[in-house]
Amino acid sequence: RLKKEVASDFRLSSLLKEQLRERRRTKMLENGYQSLSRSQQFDWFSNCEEPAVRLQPIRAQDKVLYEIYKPDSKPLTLMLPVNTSVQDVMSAIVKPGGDHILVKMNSTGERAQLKLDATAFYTALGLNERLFICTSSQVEQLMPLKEQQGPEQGTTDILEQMGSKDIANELTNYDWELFTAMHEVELIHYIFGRHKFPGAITANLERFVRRFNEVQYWVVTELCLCEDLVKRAILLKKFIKIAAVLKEQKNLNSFFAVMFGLSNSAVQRLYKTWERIPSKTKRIYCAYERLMDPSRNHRAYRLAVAKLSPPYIPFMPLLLKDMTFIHEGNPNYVEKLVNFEKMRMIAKTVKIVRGCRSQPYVPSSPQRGLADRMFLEGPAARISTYSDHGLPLRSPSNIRHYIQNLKKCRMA
Amino acid sequence: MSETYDFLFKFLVIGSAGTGKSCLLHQFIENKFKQDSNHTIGVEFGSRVVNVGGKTVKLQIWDTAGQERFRSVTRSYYRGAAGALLVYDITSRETYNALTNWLTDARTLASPNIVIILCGNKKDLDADREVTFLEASRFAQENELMFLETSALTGENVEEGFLKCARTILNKIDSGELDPERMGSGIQERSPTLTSAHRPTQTGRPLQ
Repeated sequence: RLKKEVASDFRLSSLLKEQLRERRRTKMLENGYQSLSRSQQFDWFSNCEEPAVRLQPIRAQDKVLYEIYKPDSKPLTLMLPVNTSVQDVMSAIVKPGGDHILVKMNSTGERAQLKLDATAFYTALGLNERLFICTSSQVEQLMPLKEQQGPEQGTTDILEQMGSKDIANELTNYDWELFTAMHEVELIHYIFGRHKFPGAITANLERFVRRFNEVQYWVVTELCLCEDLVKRAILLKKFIKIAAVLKEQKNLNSFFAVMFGLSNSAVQRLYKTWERIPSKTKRIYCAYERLMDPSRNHRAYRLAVAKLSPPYIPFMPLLLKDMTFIHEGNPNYVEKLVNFEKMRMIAKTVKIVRGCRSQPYVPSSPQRGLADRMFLEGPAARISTYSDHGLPLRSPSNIRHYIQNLKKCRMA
Repeated sequence: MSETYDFLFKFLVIGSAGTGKSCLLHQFIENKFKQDSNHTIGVEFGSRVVNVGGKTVKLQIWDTAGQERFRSVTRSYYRGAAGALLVYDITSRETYNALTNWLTDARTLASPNIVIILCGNKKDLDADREVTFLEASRFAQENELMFLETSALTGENVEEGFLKCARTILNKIDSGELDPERMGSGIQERSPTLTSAHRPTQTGRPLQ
C-alpha cells in the first residue's frame, strides 16, 4: 500500500509544495531587494525623463500582448493570458469552424504549425520567430516579415558616443531585472516540461534566455553592419572592453553572450578588423575565450565561477544543460520510489541560482565624472532620429533605452 | 580502472531539444534504462572505452542537451570532434526538419572529415511516428550520413550507433583518409597515463 502511495505523483508534488513555501520566502527577499535597488542612483537624471520603471515578473494570470500576423503581414494585437492555449488564441481571432491554423515562422521562412493544445507558446518564441494565422491552404504563401530580416543599418554612430562602461552598466542593470524576475521554480518547470505542472509558466526564464541570444546577435549585427574598417575595429575593441567590464561586474551571462557574439564565424572571419586590434586587447580576448572552452565539462568556467561571491549572474546555458543532463539521464522513480538522489542533484543546481541572488545587487551609479569628461571631449552630436528628447546619447536614460531595445540581424 | 587505449575519439551528440540526446548518452555509458538500475549519475561528461575491430578506443562524448536554444553555444563544441550523432525524434517532424541546420553547423564548424551518424530516436513510440524510416534513410543517403533508428528507452541500436561511428573512423584511419596526427582531427593516439586521459584534444582556440 505504501508503495502505491509513493509511486503516485504525490511525492513530486509535495516537493513542489516545499518549493512554494520557499518561493514565498524568496519573494520577500526579492521584494526587499527591489526597494533597495532603485532609489537614489537615478535621481541624477530624474528631471530628464519619466522615472525608471522596473521590469516586473510575469505571473501566470498576467495578460501579455500577443502579436499575430495575417498572411498579408498585417498584425493583429490582443491581450491574452500568458499561458493561453493555441485553441483559445484562435477562437479569439477567427470564427470557429474555419480551417485556420497558427503557424510560427522564422526569418529563413521555416514554418511549424502549432498544436491546438499547446499553451504559453508566445513567450517561448525564438528571437526571429513570429506567429501567423492563416488557413491551411495559405501556409505555403506565408513570407517572413521585413522586420524579421533585421536592421539594414548598424548603430555605430550611436555606440561610439557611449562609453563601454556605461553600456556594460546598463546591460547588467537590465540583466539583473530579468534575472530576479525569474523564479527558481521556473527552472524545474522548464526542465521537467511545463505541461507536467498545470498552470505553471516559464515566461520569465524564457525572457532571460531570449536576452542572451539578443545580446549575442546584437554584437554580430553591429560589427557586420559597420562598413568602415577603422570604425569597425574600434567597435570590435569596444565590445571586448564591454566584455571585460561585464566580467568584472560578475555578469557572466552577458559576458558570455558578448563573447559568443565575437566568436561567431561572421565576426571571426573579419581578418582585417582583428588585425587592427592592439595585441594587449587581443590577449585579453584570448584569455576570455579560454573560459568558453567546453573541454572537461567546462572546467575553465567552473573553476572561475567557484571563486566568485554573490551577487553574480551565472552563465545560464550551462546551468540549463546541467539540469537537462541530470533530468534526462535519471528516472524520477526507481522501483516505484522517488529517486531522491536525482531530486537532490536538481535541487543543488537550483540552489546555485539562489546563491547567486543571495546578496542584493546594487547598480553602479551613472558615472558622472566620466560622462562629463566625455561631454567636453566628444562632439556635441545629437541624433534626433534616435532621441526623441533631443538629449545627448550618452545620458544614462538613453543608453538604457538603447540597451533594452537592441537591434538584431536575422540569423539562424 | 586502467585507462589504456589505442585511440581517443571525441564524439558529439547534437540535435533539437527533446530528442533524447542525453538519454542516448546515458544509455550508452551506463545502461540507465535497465529497470533494476538505481544508480544515479551527475553532470560529469561521459566516456567509455570500447573494443572496435581489435582496437581499444576511448569514446569521449560531449552532450549539448539543454542548450539548443543557444545555437552559438552548441557551436563551441564542434572543434576537434571526430564523430557526431545527429539525433531527431521520429515522433516529431519539427526535429526532423531542423536536421539541415544542425548538419550545416557540423559541416562548417567541425573537421571536414567528421563522421556523422543520423539517429532517429524514440523508435519505441512507433504509434506516434511522424517521420518514416524510408524518408529519413533517403535524407541520410543524400547527405552521406549513416542512419539508424534508436530507442534510448529499450536500448535498441544505441550501442550500434556509437560503435558504427567509431568503426567508420577507424576504417578511415586505416585507409589513410584520416590522419590522427592532424590537429583538430578529434583523434588522439594512445595516451596511457591517467592525467592525460581526460585531456582535451585541443584547448582554447588560436586567433587567426
